[in-house]
Amino acid sequence: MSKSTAFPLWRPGMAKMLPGFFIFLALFVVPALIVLAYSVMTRGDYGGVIWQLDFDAYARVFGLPNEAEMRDWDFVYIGIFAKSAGIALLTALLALVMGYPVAWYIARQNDKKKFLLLFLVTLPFFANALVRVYAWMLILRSDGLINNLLLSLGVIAQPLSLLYTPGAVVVAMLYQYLPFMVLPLFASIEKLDIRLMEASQDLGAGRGRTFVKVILPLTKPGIAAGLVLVFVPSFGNFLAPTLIGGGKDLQVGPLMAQAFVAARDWPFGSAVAMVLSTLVLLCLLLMARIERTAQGSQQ
Amino acid sequence: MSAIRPLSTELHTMSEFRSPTAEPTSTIVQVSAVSKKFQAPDGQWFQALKGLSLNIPAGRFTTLLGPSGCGKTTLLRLIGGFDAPDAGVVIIDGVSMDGVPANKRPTNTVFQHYGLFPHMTVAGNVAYGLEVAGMDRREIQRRVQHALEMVRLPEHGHRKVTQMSGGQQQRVALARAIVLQPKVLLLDEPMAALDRKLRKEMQSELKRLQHELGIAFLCVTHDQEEALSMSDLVVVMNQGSIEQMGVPEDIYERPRTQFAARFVGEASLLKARVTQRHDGLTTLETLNGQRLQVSQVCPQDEVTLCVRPEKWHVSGTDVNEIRVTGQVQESTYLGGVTQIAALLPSGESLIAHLPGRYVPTQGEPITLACAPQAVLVLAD
Repeated sequence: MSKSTAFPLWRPGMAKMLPGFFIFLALFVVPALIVLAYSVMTRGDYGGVIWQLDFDAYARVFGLPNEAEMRDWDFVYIGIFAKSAGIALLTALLALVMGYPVAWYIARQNDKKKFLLLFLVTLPFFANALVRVYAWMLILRSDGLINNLLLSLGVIAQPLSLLYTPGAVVVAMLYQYLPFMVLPLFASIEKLDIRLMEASQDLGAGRGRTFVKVILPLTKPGIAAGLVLVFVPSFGNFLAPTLIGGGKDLQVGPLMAQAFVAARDWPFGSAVAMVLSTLVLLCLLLMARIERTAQGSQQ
Repeated sequence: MSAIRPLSTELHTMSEFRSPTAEPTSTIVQVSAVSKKFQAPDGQWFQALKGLSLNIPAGRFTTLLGPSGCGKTTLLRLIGGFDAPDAGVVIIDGVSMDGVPANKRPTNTVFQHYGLFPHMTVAGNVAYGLEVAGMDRREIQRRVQHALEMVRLPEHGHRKVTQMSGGQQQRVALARAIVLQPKVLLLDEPMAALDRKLRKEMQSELKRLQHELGIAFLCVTHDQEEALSMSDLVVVMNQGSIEQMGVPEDIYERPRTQFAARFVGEASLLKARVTQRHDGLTTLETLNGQRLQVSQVCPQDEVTLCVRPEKWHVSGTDVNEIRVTGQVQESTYLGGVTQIAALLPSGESLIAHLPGRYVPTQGEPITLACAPQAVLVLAD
């Protein structure tokens, strides 16, 4: 009698997965557990932690009052999370609106041209992220490209303050993560049977309705994947908010960095990191669910 | 060796061969002088339709029959509004369709690939067009159910289309198109993806549906058997033009051109020469020396004669018959009949269907005969 479970722990062929498994274990699972452990310890005065259980870091993240520390309700950190999420969501939605026509166009080309265009989409990845964010500083600052152009054309009399605004952060992240939107969208659109558009038209639907009723539902997996892939790195982004957001409006990424470096509050930084990771994980689960339902309706 | 015999064949017009129940019909689709060319990937231009004109009768089953590349699907797409003609006009029910997009035309299509929406149920697919039209929800439900009953899938509304078999998917595609009550239902090679048995079944099903609905069906096929069995009117197309149109019996019994004779059914084509024109009778002589008289006008001196295979029989004693002798090249039992391919002294070959199982040996001489009326003079 063999014991059969839905997920047997050991199956033939799993040996090949061991190297990957250990790398994942050593470089992801263990550090994540360390961060988790630090987040529930007492803050050390000069950084580090005192090995004594203390959930106050989470209490501060969620803004709970603490009488011993004379703290009242304070939702400043939840506000930072909310604003970061808002900026990330806006980035993801703009990426979707901008990326969809691009992905559509690429998917409709012949194979040779497709390859070239996909390569061009991923080209920005070849430059360092820091360099790319700095480039945006040069473009957006008061004596930067855009302001100089507008001044010389006489459109404006005074330089606009473009840099150090949430809008600037969105633009920089949009640029940085647009390929993450285009690639999954491309994969979905390429699989789409273009003849279904004719069928929809034949049944009386115009372009708009065909897009909403046929094309969007059938490319939902790509849309969901793209949104998550842009939203997740934008949410905890450090470079763009720090360099282009100017640290005036704090976001989650810089908040974490500040907690570890400036404030030497490791438990708090760890707690912020854990909350962020949990939120990201929920996003991924949501995406997996959407993909599963989309596949269920197609198979 | 053959005596000259008068032949009473007259040119028959299409109307004489209409079924007796058929009343005079009006035209639902009028295609006039339509041309269309396409550019192939290699840059070459391909003339798919060459100034074609055609009237499609209302309430009838019309079939566009021809080999691949003859332009039949292009014509269907022009009528459906998926492509625009380079020249000419399509008029549906008296209204010019010039510049009218597919979604605004009173046509619906059953695509060769069915084109069912995989993210919707069977009922969702059938309801789609009605929802687009903004119909009341309860009315939609009623009509969807009625359409599904018409295609004999009354219990399948809640199913995923991806769970249906090919034959069922085709019925869903049919229901989805007829539920909108189009003035013309366009069918693009509807049986191409079905196996032979299912195809037969669907042929009679389509015929029944057309009869019940009374709307014009325009079906594209390359299968001549399908065309003959389903249609009220067959339009034989070749290289972007109409080769011949008529009722099925007309097309088979009286092919007008060599192409029509060869493409629809089997035919023996024999070359002949005009030897005498007298009193409206033309005397012809084949390359094998048979002579016959026809009442048809033959402007050219060289003509092609056509005889359908089942018109031949093994030579009997009737002196009025046309008789040929050749060598058996091949005999194939087709079930019920045996197909004989015989080589004539002229080098031409002849195909005959003889009843029963007839087993001549290869190379054996065979004398076949047919009635003079069975010999048709083709126009080209």
